[in-house]
Amino acid sequence: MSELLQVSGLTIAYGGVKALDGLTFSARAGEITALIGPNGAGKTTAINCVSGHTRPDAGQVLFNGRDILGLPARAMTGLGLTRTFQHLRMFGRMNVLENVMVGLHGTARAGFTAAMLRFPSLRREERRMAEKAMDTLSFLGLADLAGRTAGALPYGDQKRLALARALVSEPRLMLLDEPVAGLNTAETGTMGRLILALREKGLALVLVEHDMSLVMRVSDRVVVMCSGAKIADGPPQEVQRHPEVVAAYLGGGKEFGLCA
Amino acid sequence: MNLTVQARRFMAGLLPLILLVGLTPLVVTNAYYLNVLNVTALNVLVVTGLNLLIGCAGQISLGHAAFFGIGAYVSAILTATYGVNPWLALVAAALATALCALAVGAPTLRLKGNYLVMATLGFNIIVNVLLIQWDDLTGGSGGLTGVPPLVLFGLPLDTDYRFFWLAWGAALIGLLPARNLLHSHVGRALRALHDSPAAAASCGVPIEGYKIKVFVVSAVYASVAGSLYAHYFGIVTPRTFDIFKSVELVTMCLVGGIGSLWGGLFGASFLTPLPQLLHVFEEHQDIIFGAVLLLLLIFLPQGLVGRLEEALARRGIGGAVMPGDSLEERP
Ligand SMILES: Nc1ncnc2c1ncn2[C@@H]1O[C@H](COP(=O)(O)OP(=O)(O)OP(=O)(O)O)[C@@H](O)[C@H]1O
Ligand SMILES: [Mg+2]
Repeated sequence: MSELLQVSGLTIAYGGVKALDGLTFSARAGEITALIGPNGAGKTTAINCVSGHTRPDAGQVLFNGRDILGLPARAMTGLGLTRTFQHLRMFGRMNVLENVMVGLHGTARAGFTAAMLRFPSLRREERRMAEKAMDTLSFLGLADLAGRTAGALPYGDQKRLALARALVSEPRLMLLDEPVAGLNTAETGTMGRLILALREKGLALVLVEHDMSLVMRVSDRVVVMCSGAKIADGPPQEVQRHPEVVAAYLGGGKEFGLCA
Repeated sequence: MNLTVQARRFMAGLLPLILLVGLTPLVVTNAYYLNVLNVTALNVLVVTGLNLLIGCAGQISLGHAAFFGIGAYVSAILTATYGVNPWLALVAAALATALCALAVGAPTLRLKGNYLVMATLGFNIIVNVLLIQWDDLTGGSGGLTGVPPLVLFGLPLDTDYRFFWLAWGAALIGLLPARNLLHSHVGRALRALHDSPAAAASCGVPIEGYKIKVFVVSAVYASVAGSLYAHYFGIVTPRTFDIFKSVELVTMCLVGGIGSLWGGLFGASFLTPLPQLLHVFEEHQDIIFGAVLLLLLIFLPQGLVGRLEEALARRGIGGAVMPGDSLEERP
């Protein structure tokens, strides 16, 4: 299978700190590529560079063969690339359905004038967006919560809502920044199943996670990062045996310690 | 679905309001009271636009009196000095104001952080100075007189009673596009970029462009109100459009409840007549006005409408009686 996302040589420094140091990895359709590494390894920065939120000093990001580096973040959903955030970033005062509908903003054609005068085209579009958003909510088991204020939902539901917002536009690639952080075991199980279901749909998924049991269970490939650089890359079983990774695990804990 | 429920709730609120406005001139015949009501309507119009900017996009403008003033002066100059048709002048004024708003908004709204407050404040001061200094055109600090009344269906709107219908018609009709905008993908996008620009961008929202556009739209609301003002009073003076007016307009948004169109309506309807009512306190009226504002903001930080909705929701009445159109959906 061909690579949907090819990231090479990503480098960025903040002051003296190199957050990314020549990071190279790729992701394929129908596969889950995990990006792991200790706190501060540069995982979120890597996602930010791919999603257009951060401009790296050097490197290349090819999406479906096209150079997307330098495109603004708002252009990504149109290309079929969406993401979630480590810190939720829900639209807390809106209801659940509206949150997901914002995820479809890139598909809306009507502008300010059409919206203010409520042209028939806009009404059709609104209906289409609401239906699509409801479908996505149903798929993620959130349909009952459609009318609830997003900011008032339990954390676990907000995490799934964040997934819904990124999923609703039917992307080809999703970047998930710690989708199970802060979830309990049952919620983590649900999220794991959902992520696998997305994989079944043929999406390419980049999964940033600290939960090693989830990563080892669902990933097709694991990219191990340390201080902004890649130290290992391969199937989970292989990566687990990698000496540098073994060294990085302190006592086989669930979490990395300092890296080598 | 949820969205049509919101629309129905809005209409349910608008109908009694239309009725109330329709019956008012039957009861209120005193020219002075009508005058206060007419000014209230114009303030409602400005605040509706301002509310889109503040309540939705979370951007504060301290220059809306300037846009109000540009609308008023362009209309006044074109009609009084050059004899242009007032309706045509109103459109020209709106276009001129839109261009000014674009000039102020485009560079500042691209910057991260709340630079709009400073830029609009500066803009208002500059406009005010220009209105005073450019006296060949504006009549200087004495203002410009002889602005003709608007004529509707051959009827000159030259009395408080006649103008009442236009002013309140405009105020109520002005609510509709604002409401439509709120309940569209654009309105959601504006609220989204207020909550999290990064997440909104990921959803495909053109953040800067939308902020600029909503700023321009809100300025046009002010401009239209300004044009109506000029034709109603027949005279425009710079003092009417100084920064204190801008502060007053923002206060109306805050007092009514930010982000709720009803809030703006109530805020304007409450604060416009308040100084008139406080006249009985004579030299203490400013202090009492300030005290009322302070108390309101301390005890009702969510605004009059926000508070009312909350109280009704607690009694299980919800939005059925009080037609809430607040942005903050309550479960
Ligand atoms: N905007 C920024 N300004 C300065 N330093 C930054 C910025 N963003 C990231 N960094 C630094 O870059 C490094 C990588 O941060 P990043 O958030 O990518 O780590 P991470 O792998 O996502 O960590 P975590 O697992 O804790 O989320 C850290 O040292 C961080 O302090
Ligand atoms: Mg991170």
